[in-house]
Order: sequence, then C-alpha cells, then structure tokens
Amino acid sequence: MPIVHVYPEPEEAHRMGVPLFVDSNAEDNIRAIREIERWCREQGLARAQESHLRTLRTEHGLVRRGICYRPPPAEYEQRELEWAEVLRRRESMPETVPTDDGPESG
Amino acid sequence: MPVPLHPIPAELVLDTSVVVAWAFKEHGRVASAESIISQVQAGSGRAYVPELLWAEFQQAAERKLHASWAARDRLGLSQPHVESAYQSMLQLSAAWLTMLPTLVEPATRDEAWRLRLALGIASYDAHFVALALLYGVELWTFDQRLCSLASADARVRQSLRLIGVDV
Repeated sequence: MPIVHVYPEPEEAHRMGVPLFVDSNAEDNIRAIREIERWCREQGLARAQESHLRTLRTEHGLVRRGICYRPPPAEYEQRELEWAEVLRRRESMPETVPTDDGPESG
Repeated sequence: MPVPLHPIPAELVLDTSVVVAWAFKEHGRVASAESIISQVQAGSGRAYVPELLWAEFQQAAERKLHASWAARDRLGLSQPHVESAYQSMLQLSAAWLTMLPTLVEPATRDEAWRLRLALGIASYDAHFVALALLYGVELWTFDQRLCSLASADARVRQSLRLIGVDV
C-alpha cells in the first residue's frame, strides 16, 4: 500500500483547520506524487504543489511526504475567477498556424 | 453538459503541443485543445506534465512572436498576444496541471535516454513519453512526427494518443 501514514486524519485536520502530512513509500519521487494526488482526490483534498517531496525515515520505513489540505471555498472561487479571466483574455487571441517543430528541430 | 469532443481519461500526460494549441488558438486544433483543457479544468481528469513543458512552451511562444516578416501575416503574433498567452498558461499550470520534475528523476531520465536512442525521438519528447510509460497512462499529443517515430515500439505506440484535427 503506497500511502502508509496520514497525520492527522483528514477529519481531525479539518476540525483543527490544519494541513496534513501524507506519507507514501513509493519507490521514487514522481510515483509518490501520483499516489498522494490520487489519495487526495479520493478524500476531496488538494496537494500542495511541491515537485520534490521531502524524503524521511519513519516507523513506516523510507517515505516521501506530501502536504495536503482541504481547499477553502475561497480557493475555488478564486480559481473560477481566474478561469473566467483566462477565457476573457482568449477572446482577443487570433487564431494561429500550428507550429509542429519542437525545440530540438529548430 | 454536452459530450466533450475528446473525453479524457482519469489521468493523462499532456504534450506541449496541446497546451500550445490551446494558448495560441492553433488552427485546426483549437477546438480539440479547448475541449481537453476544459475537462482538466473541470476536474474530469488529472493532467501530468514534466516541468520542461515550460521550456517547450516558451520556445513555441518565442517562435510565434518572431516569425519571419514574410510569414508574419499568417503566423506572427504581436508581443501583447504572446504575453497574453503566457499569462493564460501561467494560470493553467498553477491551478490545473501537476508539474513533475524530469531531468533529475532517474525513473524518467533513464527511460527517456533509452527511448531517444531506440526510437530517435527528441529528448524533450522522450521525457513526456517516459512519464506516460512510467504512470501507465496515455500521452495526448498533436505531434504526428512523434507518433510516427514511436510506432516502431509497440509499448510506446499504445501509450500515445494522437489527437486529430478539429472536425
């Protein structure tokens, strides 16, 4: 089981208004990120967007630790506002011709 | 809610070609790209991208800006338009894309190297493919050349989803 420890439990963290640590024993950083992302989604939580998780040795072995939290309504509202802004900004963008060549072929 | 043009899976890797098509409204691709990005934004699926997406995106943005004068009427964009696309990409990446390190991650670094040597695909592309293989998800791309080169490897071929032109 890749998620080996969660502290505090989501309900308790919610009650206390604090984020929680989610430890994964996945074998590398990007596998651990994926497992923690999946777990967060199942719990209705969001992961702090670290791209390099801290590695530490615990009673559960070598783990990578993600920080997760329950997004407040204001965060969702802010995202909606930002998305509306993106859509507004795109209205003035003209259509362009596709550029297929990547950086190494230019 | 209308049926999306391209329903996305629960998890996928997005190629730079998709976000560039979205940000710069590329002809023949924009409807598909908007469909995909809108689903990611709505939480229908989780989109993973390597951090070097930014390098590719900036390269594409710079090309949109500095298209030759001869081609400017059909390709070139003004600085404000490029800045606008850049801002949209910033907001997209901050909120809805999961950025993953690549070059320092042995799991993708070594697989990307193997793919580059075996298939002759570009290093940047190889990192996207390696990430998709590692996660066992599809890489969604508009890049026909990548798909053509990758077709020599059955495992890679199965992990690629070539998005067709808008219909």
